[in-house]
Amino acid sequence: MSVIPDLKLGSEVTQKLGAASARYCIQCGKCASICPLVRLREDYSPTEVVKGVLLGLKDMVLSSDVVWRCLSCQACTKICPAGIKFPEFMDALRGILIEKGITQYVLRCKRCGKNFTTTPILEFAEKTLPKEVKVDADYLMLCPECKPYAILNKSARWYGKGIV
Amino acid sequence: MEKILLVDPEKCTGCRSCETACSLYHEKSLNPSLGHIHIVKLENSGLYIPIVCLQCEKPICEDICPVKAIKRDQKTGAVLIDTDICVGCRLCAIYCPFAGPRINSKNGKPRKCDLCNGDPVCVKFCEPKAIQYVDATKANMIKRLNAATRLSELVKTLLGTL
Repeated sequence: MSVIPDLKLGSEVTQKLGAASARYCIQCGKCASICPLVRLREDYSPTEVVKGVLLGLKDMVLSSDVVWRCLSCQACTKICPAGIKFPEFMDALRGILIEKGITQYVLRCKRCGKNFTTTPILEFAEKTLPKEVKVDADYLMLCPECKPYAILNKSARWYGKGIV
Repeated sequence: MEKILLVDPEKCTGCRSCETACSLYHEKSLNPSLGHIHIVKLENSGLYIPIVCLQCEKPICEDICPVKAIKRDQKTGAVLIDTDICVGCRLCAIYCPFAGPRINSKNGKPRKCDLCNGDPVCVKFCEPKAIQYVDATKANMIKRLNAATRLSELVKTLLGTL
């Protein structure tokens, strides 16, 4: 981790509407106590993410996948004493990172092009699956809204012709 | 005996009464987009296909849920999402190969069919009887019969062209 903070990066994020509340973080760690992800993996904490972004720790924010691990469940937003709107902060942060050209962690829907999840979330989720379960990678490239249309469009050609 | 929802897409007329009834029963508002059942309209082939959770024997949503909010109800055999535990990460909807869980457009959380405690409202409101709530063995028989009749028709048409 770089010890020289780059405050420009932090101010860039907090200038965005909604993310401005992150400036009031008091590092109490209440968010980490309620985050469902912290219970499962040791290498993530929302407190660390806010700290890293506000101080502009480049190694953590720009070149690692730490900020892409959040599930956006809003559990921390409900408990935060400083009133930080975490999902909006995450959206602003991820938007700025995508503008900077860090797109390797974003999964875009093949059909509608929406950014619906990130690769670190899926990589982590696949570890929890039993070994005998095999997942078709094509399914994972579709957002939940597009999935029924994409799957059925494939089989519609045979529909009513005695096969399906 | 365990009962399942049997969907016959050929009978579906795309009226979306099932979606509306489902949203009124579960979400307390008349809004088809909030229903846990989903009618997919395929314009190119002119088809309406009801998409609903199949209540798998070994559900992948149960395995993938990071907070273990998805459990099977032993009474009805339905796979339920515990709304108090669910954090809305949508992994169940991403991993389900049949697109069973549907994203609620109001709070962004996935919601799925819970068979209405053994008395589904979509069945009551389906006028052309495209959705039926029948015993698992009977549903199996109906599916086999349909497949057999289709196969016989296919063989007839194939023999006719020869």
